[in-house]
Amino acid sequence: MRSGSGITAESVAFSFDGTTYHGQRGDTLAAALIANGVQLVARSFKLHRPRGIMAAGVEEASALVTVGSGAHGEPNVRASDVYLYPGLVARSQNAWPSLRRDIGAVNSLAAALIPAGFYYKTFFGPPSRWMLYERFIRRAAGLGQPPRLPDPDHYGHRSAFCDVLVVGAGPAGLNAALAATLAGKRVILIEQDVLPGGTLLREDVTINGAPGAHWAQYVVARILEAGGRVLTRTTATGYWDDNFVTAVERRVEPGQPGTGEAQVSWRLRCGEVVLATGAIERPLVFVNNDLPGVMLAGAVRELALRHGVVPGRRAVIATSHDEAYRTAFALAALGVDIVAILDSRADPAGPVIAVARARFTVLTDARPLRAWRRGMAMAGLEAQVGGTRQSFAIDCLAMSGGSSPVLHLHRQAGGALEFDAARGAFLPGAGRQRHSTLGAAAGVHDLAALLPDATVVDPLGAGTPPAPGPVWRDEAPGKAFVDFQNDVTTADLALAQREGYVSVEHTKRYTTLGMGTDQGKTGAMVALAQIADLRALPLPDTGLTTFRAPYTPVTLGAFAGPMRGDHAAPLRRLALANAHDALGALWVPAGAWMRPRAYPHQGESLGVASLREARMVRANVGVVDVSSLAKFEIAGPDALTLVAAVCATPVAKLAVGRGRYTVMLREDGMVMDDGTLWRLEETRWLLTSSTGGAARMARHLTYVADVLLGHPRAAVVDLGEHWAGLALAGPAAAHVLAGLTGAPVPAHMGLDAAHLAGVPVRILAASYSGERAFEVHVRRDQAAPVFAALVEAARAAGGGVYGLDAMDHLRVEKGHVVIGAEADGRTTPADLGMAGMLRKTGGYVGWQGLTRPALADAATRRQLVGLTALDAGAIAEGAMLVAREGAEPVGHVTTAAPRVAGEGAIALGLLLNGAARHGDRLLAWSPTRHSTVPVEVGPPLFFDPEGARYRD
Amino acid sequence: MTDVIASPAGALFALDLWHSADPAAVAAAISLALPAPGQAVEDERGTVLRLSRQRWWLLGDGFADLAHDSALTDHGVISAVGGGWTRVQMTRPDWRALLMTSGLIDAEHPDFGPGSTAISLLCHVRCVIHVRAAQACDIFVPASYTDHCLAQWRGQ
Repeated sequence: MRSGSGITAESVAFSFDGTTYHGQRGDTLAAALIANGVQLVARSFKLHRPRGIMAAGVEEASALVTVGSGAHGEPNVRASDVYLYPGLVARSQNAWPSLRRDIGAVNSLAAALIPAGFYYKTFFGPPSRWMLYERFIRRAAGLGQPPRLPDPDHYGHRSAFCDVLVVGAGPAGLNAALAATLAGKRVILIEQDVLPGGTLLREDVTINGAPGAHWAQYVVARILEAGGRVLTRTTATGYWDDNFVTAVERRVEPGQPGTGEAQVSWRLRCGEVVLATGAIERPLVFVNNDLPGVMLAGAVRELALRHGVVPGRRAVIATSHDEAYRTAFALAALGVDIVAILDSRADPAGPVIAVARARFTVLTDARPLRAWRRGMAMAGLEAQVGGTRQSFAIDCLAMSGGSSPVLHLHRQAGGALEFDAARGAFLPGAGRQRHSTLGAAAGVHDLAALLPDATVVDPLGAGTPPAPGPVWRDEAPGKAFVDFQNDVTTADLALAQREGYVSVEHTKRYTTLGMGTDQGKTGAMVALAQIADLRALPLPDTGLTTFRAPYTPVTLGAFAGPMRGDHAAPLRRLALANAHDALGALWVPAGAWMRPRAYPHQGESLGVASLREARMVRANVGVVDVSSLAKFEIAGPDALTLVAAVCATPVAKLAVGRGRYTVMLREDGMVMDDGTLWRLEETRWLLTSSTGGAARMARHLTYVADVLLGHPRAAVVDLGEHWAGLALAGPAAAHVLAGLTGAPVPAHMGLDAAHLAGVPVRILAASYSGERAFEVHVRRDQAAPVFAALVEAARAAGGGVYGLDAMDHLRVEKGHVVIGAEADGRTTPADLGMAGMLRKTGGYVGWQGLTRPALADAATRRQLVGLTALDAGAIAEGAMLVAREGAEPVGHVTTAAPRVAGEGAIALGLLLNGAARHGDRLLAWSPTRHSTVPVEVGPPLFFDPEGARYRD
Repeated sequence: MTDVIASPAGALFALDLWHSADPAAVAAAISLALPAPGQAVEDERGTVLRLSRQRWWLLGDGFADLAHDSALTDHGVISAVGGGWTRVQMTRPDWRALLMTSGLIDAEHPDFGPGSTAISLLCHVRCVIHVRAAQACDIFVPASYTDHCLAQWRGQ
C-alpha cells in the first residue's frame, strides 16, 4: 500500500462464499480477494465460464457479487466498487451448487447450441408458452437475486445549486474545480471513488513535490476551505436539460447496515458543468480473454500502486500503446516476474519504451492469441510475435487495447462526438449545453499538459496517446469475448451481421451487447471495431447506440428517496380529520385528499352503512364534511366581467346575498367544472367548484383573467384551504341550524353571516342531496367547535354524520352530475341536460365552441340518462350499455347507487341519443366483472322531480 | 437537527393590486411599505411579504383595518387567507439543508438571507418561504398538507 491511498493497517474481517478472510481498511473487495489469493470470483451470465477480477472500478463487467445479508443484501455489486467494512459478507451468484463446481457450466459445453439470437430462434408459439420457457431461462442464466424483504435502508433527496459542477476528481477535475473556487464561484466537485485523485492513485508521479495522491487531497482541502463542496463516493447518474445533473452519493457501502441515509440522490442545478470523467481502458480480443488472471493493465497497476497487491507472480503485459508499460514497472517493484511485454505496434519508440527495453523483454508486432488455464486460473498464453507463435507460462496477463473516453454525460447533454482514428476513439465534439470536457475524457492523458501551472515529475515520462488494439480475425479457434458481462463473443457479432442485424441497435438487441449493468463500458468500442471490420466500414459508420441514463446502476430506493410508504405521495388532511376519526370514519382517497367515506357502526358493512346514512338524510338530518371543495373569491371593480367570462350561466342579475348553480366550460364548449356562484358584495364573489378540479380551476381563472381579459381589476384568491365547509342536509336541517345560530336560516340559494358555537360563519343555502340543505363555511382553524356543535345537534334531532358514499347515493337519485364521471371532458351542457341554464347572450368561455356543427346533431351525442335496474342486481359502474352481450356499446354507466328512497339499483349513464331513448331497455354489461344487469332508460332524476323538498 | 414548530398562520391577508396600479403610490396612500420581489419587510403592524408581481401578504393583526381603507379601493383588494395556511417556524443553522432535501430551491444562495421570500415546491407542496434571520425561517404550508410536510421535516 502507498501513503495517500486511504488504506490503513487496520485489519478488516470479511467473508466470501462462507470463508472468512482479512483485508485492510480502504481496500476494495476485489483487492482484498486478490490479496487473499482468491482468483475465481464469479460465473458468467450465460455460459457460466469462470471469471475473476478484470477491472478496478465501476467498469468491472464480470466480478459481480451479492453483498450483505437478508434485507440488506445487494446483488450485482462490482467487487471492485465496494470497500471493505467489518463484517462484509459477499457471495458469488449465478452458480450452483458452488462457484467452483457450477452445474451451469454445462452451458459452456453446449455453447454452440446457444448462440446469439437463441431465444428468438427457439421459443416459438403463443405468448403463454414464454411464461414456461422463462422459468428455465431464468434459472440457467442471469445475475444476482434481488432481496425479497423490504429494503430497510433510508434514502434521501437533496438539491444543490452551483456556478460550476465538476464531475470527476482526477487531475483535470481537481485543477478545474480549484481554479473555479479560487475565482469566487460556487463549486461542487463529485467523485465516484472514496478518494480524490483518479489516475493519480495508480501512477508513480509527484506534483509540486508531493506524491500525486497527496496533491489531490491538498487540492480538495483548498476547495473546501474556499467554500466549495466535495462529494466523494458520488456518481453522476444523468445529465438533463438546462444543466440539470443528477447524482447519487453512497454514504454506506453496499450491504452495510447503517442508521442514517444509505444513499442520497442529488439534484444539481448548475451554471456550468465540467466533465472530467476520465477514460476506460479497453481489453484486447483473443481466445479465452475472460480467464481469471487476465486483467486490464490499468487495474493491475492500481492494485499494485494503490493497494500493494499483485494478481500473480509471472506476468505478461500485452498492449497497443505506451501506457501499459507503466504496469510492468509497478509489478516489478513488487517482485513480480515480468515475462514479456507484447506490443502490437511494429516499431514503438519513446522514453518509457526505452527504459522498458533496458529492463524487460519487449516483443513488438506481438499480441495474444489464446490463453489457457489450469484449474480455474490462468496458466499460460500463446502469442503471435511477428511471424511466429510463442508460448508463455504465466498466471497474469495485464492487457490494454487503448482507452475509451467516458462521454455518456456529454452525450446525454446533447453533445456531439468526433471520431479520432489514431486513438480509435470518439472524442467530445460541440456541446449543446454550458459544459466542457477535460482530461482523459477529452483525449488528453499527459499530466503536464493537464496541470500547466504545476511541477509534474514523472520518472517514466509522458507516453503516446492510447491507440486501439488489433482487430480479432479468428487467428485461433475458441471464444474471444467483446462483452464480458453478457458473454458476447466476436462470433456472436459476426452471426448478427450475417443474419442481417447490421444496425448497431439491432446487433445490440440480438446479441445483448452492451446491456445489463455494464452498459458496454469496456466492450462497446471493441465491438464496434469488430463490426466495422466485418462490414468493411469506417468505425463511425457502424453507428452508436443511445447513451441513456444511468450509465452506472442506481439503487431503486435512491430514486424513491423519502417518498415511500405513507409519504409515497402527498396526502391532504381535512381540518377535522381527528374529529372524523373519533366518529369512526372509514377514509377514502379523493385526489390527494383523504375524505370520510362512511361511518360504519360495529359489524356494519360499508354498503349498509352508506345506505343507512343516506336514508338518515332523507328522513331527518345529516352532517357531511365538504371542506375539500374548491372555493375562490373574485373581488374588484371588474370582478363581474371575470365571473361572467368563466361562468356559462346568467350572473349579472344575481343580487348581493344570493347564489346559483353554475357551470364552467372549456374553450371547446365541453363542461370543465361546476359549482355554485355567490355574490358576497357588489364587487366580491364566491365561486365553488369540484374537489378534484380545484387546481385546474385556479389555473383557468388566472388564464381567463390574464390572457383572455388582459388583467381586469379583479383579484382571484384561492380560499379552498381557508374555509372549511360543513353541509347540513335533510328535512330537519333548517330547524337544527336555526337552533344553533339563533337566527332564521337563509332562503334557498341565499347566504347569510352568523355565529355558531361562538365562531363567525357564513351560511350558504344550497342543496346537493335534494333535501333542504346548508353549507356552513368557517375558517379552517376554527372549524372544530362548529363541527362538534352541528354533529351534536344533528344527533339530538335523530340524525348524524354521513360520508362520501351516502352523498353519492343522494346525488345520483337527484341526477346531479360529478366532474370526472358524468362530466368527463367529452360532454357539453346540452349532453348533461343543462342547455336551458346557459346564458343566451353568450360571451362566456366555451360559447363559440358550442356553436360547432359537430355538436348540433343530438343523435351523435352521448347524453345523460337515468338507468333503473330491472332485476335485483347491482349495476356495475363503468359497465357498457348494449342491446345484447357482445354488441357494439351505445353508452356506459357513469355512477351507480342503490335507491335511497325505495329499493333496487339505479344509475346515471351517458347514452348515445339518450334523451330520445327514455323507456328503452338495455343491458349494463361488464364482462370484466362478470356482470349483466337489464336496465330501463329514463330521465336522470329519480326522486322529488319537482324539487319541493329543498325549497323553502 | 432543526427545531420545527407549526402553528396556524393567524391573521394573514392577501393584498392584490391591479396591474394598472402603481405600488409605490399605493404604498404611500395606505402608509405601508410594499417590498420588492423576493423580499419582506417588517413594521410595527407585522410583516409584509412579496409573493408575486401583483400580490403581497400581510401577516399580523395590525393589517386587518386595511381591508376597509378607502385609499386602497381604486388600486386593489385585501382578502383574509390565514385559515388556509400553517406557519412552520424552523430555527437553528441547518434549516437551509432541510429545505434543500425537500425540493429544488437554492436556500444556500448567498443572497437568500434574512428578509428574503420565495415560493417553491417543498415535499411536492407549494410553500411560501420567508427567511427571518440567519438561523430562522418561516415556511407557510397549505394547511391540509401540514402533516405531510411535518412528517418529512421531523423525520417521521
